[in-house]
Amino acid sequence: MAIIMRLDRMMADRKVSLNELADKIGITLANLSNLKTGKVKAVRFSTLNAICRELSCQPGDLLEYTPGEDEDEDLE
Amino acid sequence: MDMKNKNDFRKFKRFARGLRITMDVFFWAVIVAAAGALIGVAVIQAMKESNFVFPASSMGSISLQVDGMIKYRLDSQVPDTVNLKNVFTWILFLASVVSVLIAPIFYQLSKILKNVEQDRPFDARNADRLFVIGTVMIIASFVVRLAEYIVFDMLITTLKITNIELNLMLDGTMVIVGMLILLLGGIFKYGSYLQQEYDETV
Repeated sequence: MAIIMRLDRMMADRKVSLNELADKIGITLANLSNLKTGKVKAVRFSTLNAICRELSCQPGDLLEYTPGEDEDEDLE
Repeated sequence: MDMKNKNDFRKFKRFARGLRITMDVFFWAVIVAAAGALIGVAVIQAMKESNFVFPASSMGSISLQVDGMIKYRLDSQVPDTVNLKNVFTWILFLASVVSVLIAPIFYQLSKILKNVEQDRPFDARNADRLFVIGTVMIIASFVVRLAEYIVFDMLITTLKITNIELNLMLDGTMVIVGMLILLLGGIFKYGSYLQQEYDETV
């Protein structure tokens, strides 16, 4: 997947723990952990909205596109 | 999910639970019946032929019925005594075969209903279970008719009834129902794919 989630970086910058953030945005710890480690296939706008609200950041701060990663998917 | 939908789903889950218990009971009843029938076959084989010779008068009226609407009496064609050992043996043996064939249907239905109770109606395995049920229905459409054919043929031969022909035909209804269930399996397979996509969306 070429889209990488930089949630861990933002959480470290804002000094927010996984538990705390999961409670505030209303998703389970397991789902937030999967999101942080890039194991999810898709993110709802409502979830992105809640994360940006709690971490006072922009969606672009959380999402990064690395074109090289797409070649691996084409081969699969 | 709004309140009304939640309540409807809760009612549906309770219904699924009741139905699952019923399927479990049917499954075990069919297994016990199959085992009992096989034991019956063994017992009949061990018994003397004389235990199965009956005078025709003791069997009451023998008739052929078509859908309960037409009744053709066969009394005048039946011999004075008949030996029904082979008939009973085959009836019990074929009953056990048919029971073993249809038992998986109840088992798979029970598993599907369990997934519904656990809020996983589109579990990936449910599609496979429906494929099994559909396939068994299609096979059973032939096997059940074959079993009936064998029993009727045996009865006709034993009772020395003439002027009757048997035709072996598929049970069309079961074939169509089986195919519809296979189709439903395909729909559930797509449903499980959508469920997975939903589960992997945060």
